[in-house]
Amino acid sequence: MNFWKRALASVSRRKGKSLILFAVVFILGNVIAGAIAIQQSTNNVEKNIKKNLGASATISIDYEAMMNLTEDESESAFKESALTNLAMTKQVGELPYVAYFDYTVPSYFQTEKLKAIEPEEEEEGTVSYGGGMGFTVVGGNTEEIADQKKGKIKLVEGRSFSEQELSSGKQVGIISKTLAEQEKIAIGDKIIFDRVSRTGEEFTDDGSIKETENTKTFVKDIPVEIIGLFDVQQTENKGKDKEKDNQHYFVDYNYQLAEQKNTVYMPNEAVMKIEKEYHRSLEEEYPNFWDFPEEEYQKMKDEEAEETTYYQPFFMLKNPEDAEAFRKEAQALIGKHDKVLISSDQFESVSGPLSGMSKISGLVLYVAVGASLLIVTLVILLFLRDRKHELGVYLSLGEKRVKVIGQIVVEVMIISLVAITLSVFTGNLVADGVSSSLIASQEQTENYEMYSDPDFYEFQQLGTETVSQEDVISAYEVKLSASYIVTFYLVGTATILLSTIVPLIYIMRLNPKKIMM
Amino acid sequence: MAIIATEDVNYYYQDGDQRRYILKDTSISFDKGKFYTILGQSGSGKTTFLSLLSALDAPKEGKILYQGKDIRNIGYENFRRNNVGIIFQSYNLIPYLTAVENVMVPMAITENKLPDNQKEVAYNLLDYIGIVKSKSDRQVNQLSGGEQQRVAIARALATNVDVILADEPTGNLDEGIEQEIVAIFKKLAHEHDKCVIVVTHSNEIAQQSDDTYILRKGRLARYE
Ligand SMILES: Nc1ncnc2c1ncn2[C@@H]1O[C@H](COP(=O)(O)OP(=O)(O)OP(=O)(O)O)[C@@H](O)[C@H]1O
Ligand SMILES: [Mg+2]
Repeated sequence: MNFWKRALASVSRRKGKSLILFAVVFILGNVIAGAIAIQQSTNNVEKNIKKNLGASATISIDYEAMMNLTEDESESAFKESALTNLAMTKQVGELPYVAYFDYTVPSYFQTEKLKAIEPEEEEEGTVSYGGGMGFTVVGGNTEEIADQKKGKIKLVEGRSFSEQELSSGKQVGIISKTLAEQEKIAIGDKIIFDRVSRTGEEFTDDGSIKETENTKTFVKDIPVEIIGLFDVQQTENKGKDKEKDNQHYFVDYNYQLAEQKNTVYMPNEAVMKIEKEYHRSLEEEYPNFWDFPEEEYQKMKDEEAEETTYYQPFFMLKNPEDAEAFRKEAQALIGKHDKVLISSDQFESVSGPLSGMSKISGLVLYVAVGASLLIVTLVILLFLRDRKHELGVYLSLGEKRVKVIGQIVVEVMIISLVAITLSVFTGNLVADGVSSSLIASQEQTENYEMYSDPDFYEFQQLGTETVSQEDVISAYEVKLSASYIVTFYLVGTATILLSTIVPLIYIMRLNPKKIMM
Repeated sequence: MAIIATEDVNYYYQDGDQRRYILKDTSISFDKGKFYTILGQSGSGKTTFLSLLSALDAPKEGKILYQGKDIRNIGYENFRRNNVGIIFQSYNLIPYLTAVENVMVPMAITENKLPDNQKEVAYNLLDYIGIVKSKSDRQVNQLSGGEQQRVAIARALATNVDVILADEPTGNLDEGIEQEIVAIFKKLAHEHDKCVIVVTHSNEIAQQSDDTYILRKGRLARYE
């Protein structure tokens, strides 16, 4: 009858006590297992969605923080921003986490003779677009265009910019195949953007725009040699979920598609040159074209002399897991009021229902482990006091204390492992049930609109994917995963083993003479 | 040579800064093949004396010798494991084990060379002590007090030791049973060459023993 056999006999023959310990461990085990299952499921959602969101980044001004600044302060914030200081952005681009880096000088050509692609109207009378569309001009500094890298477009004909074109600022461009077909333009041809600026119109009662005697119109032709044609890439997700997106964010899919087809990619140098030239001519023909108050106008002229250009950077990280390290190091390099936006940040905005649950389950986990330590310790201690004479017998027979302790640990572990093994499954069911009702309650309280995010535009620019609260919730799934099982077994057995420490001290201090004689 | 002996043993309890002596300069030796009894008034220190012989406690001064060796050097736990069998007044069996399993507990603990067929040996021991096979397979809480004490004796014999110590083994039993138990002790001493030392209140038992000692005021004196 060695201590193993004694332990087995004790567990199997003293059924009442075994059952009590089993029940205690089983109940607490369910709570712990449930909390772990929820934690793991929320972590999985985060991991998967962040993976889908990819790891691209940009820099933006922290508009929320700007609100609390005075006008002068915010002006200097802009001047110190990485968006106006290319050197800062370039430093960020040189961080080791960055796989690809480009920056864009943006512009917009409103034209009249040259017709932009109009969005398809899906159902009659649903949406009407006031005013014609113009051309979004996207500058670039690399041969591989950022949107290509993001998977938004694909070069289908011609070529991209050469080194020489990028540095010289030659007016070359890449337009959509759709636009080229509409305008019957082939590679090597020149397309003329009749860029128009108009001011002083009035809205009539029926909503149309009418010219008045104050109307000023400035037109300048901008010829661009076409070197390549692109096609808009539709991601599977976008196509499939467009109905949903339309409803939820009031972002019109067809409008977005048209906007992309009306994009012109050019070297940054060329865009800067065009901008400068255009505004110089405009100013020459119509001083204070936009009729600003005199004081403001002077100030703007001064600023223009300083030649502030906006650069919108785009970074692609080597590894999504580097996101936080990248953010930290980049933040140190950029302006005080700048912030780093990473595509995966969107998750934080839509993960409301999950993060609430993750917090609660984390708390429950700590409390449950703590309570288990206490309760299981007390239960074992209580049972040991009942068995004082038995323990005294072993000691008086010369049994080593480690073996006496061994018997107790084996007994506790046999019962606990059975209870823990069962709670792996029931705890998972508990987690499933609890999380559905938790999600439902959180969803009602946090009806988040992606559209109202101050950084929504930037996020959209970052990549092709956007996520909604629904995506997050539907990605949530309580699974009987290997990591859940392993984690729970580890936490469970560690808790039980820790719970035996105090009882073991009790055994170490037993004096057989006092018990027996 | 004596199998077990005390040499100038002192034992006291500290009462504040006073020492209350239970045993004073006790030197006494016990031989194999003899059945000893120890008498004394309640509180005289009989149990204390037995706890020193059984290495459940250590003398404050002096030595306990086993085959001439200080048991401190043998190691108390070692000594209990391999050299003595102890029988308590309140049997102290493991309640959820059967009689035969109780007898087998010390067999798994001792380092003494025992025959391989331990279970058979245990059954035979119980049979010898008067527990039939059908009762040997019962959980001990289903046995009478007398039967339980027999199981406890069998357990003390299980490791095949030379010294058997018993503290008022019949204190809870009626006279008829007491007599049967005493008969067993006598047989163990005389037929199996054990050294049996029994603490008792009973003069009848003392009269049947080979040697009787009386413990009084810290002194153990031979009763003639
Ligand atoms: N832990 C202790 N601390 C102080 N005094 C003690 C302690 N244990 C026992 N004693 C005292 O030592 C004395 C001897 O006790 P012991 O149990 O050896 O007596 P005994 O002869 O076995 O008595 P009984 O016949 O009643 O069993 C008693 O007076 C008792 O009160
Ligand atoms: Mg006593």
